[in-house]
Amino acid sequence: MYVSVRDIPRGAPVPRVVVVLGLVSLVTDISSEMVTAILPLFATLALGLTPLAYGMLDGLYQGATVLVRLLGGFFADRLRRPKLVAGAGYALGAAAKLMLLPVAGAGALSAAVAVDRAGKGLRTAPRDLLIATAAPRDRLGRSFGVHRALDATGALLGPVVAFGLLALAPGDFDMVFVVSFCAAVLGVLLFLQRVPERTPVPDRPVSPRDVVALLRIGGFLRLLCACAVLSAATIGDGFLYLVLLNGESVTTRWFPLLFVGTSLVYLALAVPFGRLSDRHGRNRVFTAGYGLLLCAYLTAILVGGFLGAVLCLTFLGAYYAATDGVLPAAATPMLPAELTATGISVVQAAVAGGRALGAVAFGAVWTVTEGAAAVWIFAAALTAALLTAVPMITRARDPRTESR
Amino acid sequence: MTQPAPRGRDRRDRIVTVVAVLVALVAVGYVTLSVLRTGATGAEGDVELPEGRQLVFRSLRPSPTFGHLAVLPADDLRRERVVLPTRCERTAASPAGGLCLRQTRDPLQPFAATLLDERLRPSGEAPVNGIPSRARVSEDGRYYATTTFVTGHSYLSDGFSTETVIGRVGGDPVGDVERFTFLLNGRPNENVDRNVWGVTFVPGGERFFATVATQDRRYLVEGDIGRRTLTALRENAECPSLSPDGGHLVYKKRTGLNTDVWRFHVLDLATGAETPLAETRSVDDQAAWLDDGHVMYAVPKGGAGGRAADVWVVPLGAGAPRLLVQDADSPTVRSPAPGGASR
Repeated sequence: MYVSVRDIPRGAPVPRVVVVLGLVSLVTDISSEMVTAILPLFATLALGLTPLAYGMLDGLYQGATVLVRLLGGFFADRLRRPKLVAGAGYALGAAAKLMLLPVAGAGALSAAVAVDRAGKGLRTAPRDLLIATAAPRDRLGRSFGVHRALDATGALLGPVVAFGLLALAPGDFDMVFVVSFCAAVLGVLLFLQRVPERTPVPDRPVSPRDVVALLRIGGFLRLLCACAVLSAATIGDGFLYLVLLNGESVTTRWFPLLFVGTSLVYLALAVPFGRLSDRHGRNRVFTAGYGLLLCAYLTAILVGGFLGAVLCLTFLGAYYAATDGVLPAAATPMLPAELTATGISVVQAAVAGGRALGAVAFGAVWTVTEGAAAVWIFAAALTAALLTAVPMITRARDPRTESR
Repeated sequence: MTQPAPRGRDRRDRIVTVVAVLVALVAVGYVTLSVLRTGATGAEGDVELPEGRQLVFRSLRPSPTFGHLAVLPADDLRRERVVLPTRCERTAASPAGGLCLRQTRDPLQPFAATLLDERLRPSGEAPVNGIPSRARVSEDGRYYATTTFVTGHSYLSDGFSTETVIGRVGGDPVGDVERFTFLLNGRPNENVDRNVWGVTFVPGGERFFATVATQDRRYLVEGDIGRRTLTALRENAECPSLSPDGGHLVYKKRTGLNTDVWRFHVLDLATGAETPLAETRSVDDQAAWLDDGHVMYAVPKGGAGGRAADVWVVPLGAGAPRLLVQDADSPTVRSPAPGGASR
């Protein structure tokens, strides 16, 4: 562990807790992504649900997580026990894998998925608070970058492990669920054992009224608005991949690899972009990320063929690297210490809510127009969102968000 | 860490390490068991198939041969099933052969179609995109049809579509049926959101029936492989299945509002009269004909990780549905040529 924040030279490693949290996320993501990857297969082949019914089930909980996320942030701050709240989230995730074993129908499946999503929603903000507390202020972007790179590695390995196991024993979904459960338990053990609880500071407990007061912090409110506007103009990876498919840039055979390509770019760029954000301003890198997303849209429709697909995935992965970890890093310095988890959960909820809205809107546009036209509409919307957001958060330099 | 390590810490460290090792061992042990279980196959080599009309299905008995192809004499279903070494997710059979949609060990191509010869032994391979949903073969064995759900990766639950492909045994594939010309009210329909599923072949020709969905409506269509057309016949009919005498079609008809609630109906092709069957449960399956008077289908029953099902049968006329074969799905009946190849 580091001794003094000031003495760390440029390029020094991030605090050990951040790496441990990254490893916990890696193991936990292997566990949950192995299940997510085979769940459509399990639902349609084993349970006989239609993909449409499964899709609805999936969509239902995307909305519910937004609420749980906010609760996770708020309780981490109110109880001043981020480790406890995050630990509960990790434990719920493990319990969900166990619930999948006796599943025999849509009802039981949706209950298991609900518990899993609740766990994920609950742990996100307190975990980000633990990272934010451990990381030195001038190294926030980089620390979140390290965490996100490890997290993305787990998400990438999960499906590989799941399909590898199914190849060994075709059709034995229970076995995949058992392995996933064991991985989740290992994640919980690592978290409990190697992450210290922040010592509680005796102070007046946080009330919901304090949460409203967050909105009076000018820089934070502007960042929040920018998040909502920008994320509402996102298409959703699934649809973007469908655009590539419709444009015959790729065939269905290569579909799983689109996700792999995006993740590889994401995990490769998460740390460099985090460092870039520490040096040149986190809000700037965050908004630039949406510029990269705009490039992804445009390459998907303008550049055809294999090259178009590669460019599109590169831009998409870069967009995630420039936004996902940079956002909490940008928000943290603006927030009062006792409300950091709440504040992080609020901006992340804004992004999640915006994305869900964007996906629904794009789905609606997609059904009435042809593929390319729908992307053009969203490219225009994203351009408008960028023109709104850029002056909002990058012009007025908030001294607290910049390290220089 | 910043605080001095308490004395009990080493002990706790050791306990947690032991627990972690135990958890890892459980995972390894379970995988090993599972691999050993699936490695054991049923009958090896050449298997004696029952004489006469055969009911071919997927055996779902809880055993190492779960999911394997199995055969029973159609006229004496109480006999012990003959389990074949081939494992399938969906299957269909005709006198000339059969089709088995199965999981592969290749993550990039997780499913494939195995063509079966007249003794139901693997005789060829064809790639399949997506998760198997329906399988059918034509009476003469010249054509086969597969319907799959093309969901791609789990991150793509936003959009799904079906892919229905007709293959020609020992010839050029006919290809994706979605690309056929869809004639609605006599005019070509250009909707891009078209989905096709549930093919049933008309014996002896190049015609078939199937379902076409577009703009949230589902049509029963008659397809022509030679002319590459799909002609809409009527609305709200999915997964048709043609009776052996060619006189009736059985299909799923949506009876709920916007939800996946179906009831089997039978259409008399000569008169155009549509009659609901006595089965009142909502069943999501492409029915098959046991004979000209009886329709069979699989009903999921949970258990075995939700994968168990029974095959039920219902008469066209009066009479309640009854259990036909326990622990089975994907049933089709075939009548090998008398004294012919199945011997």
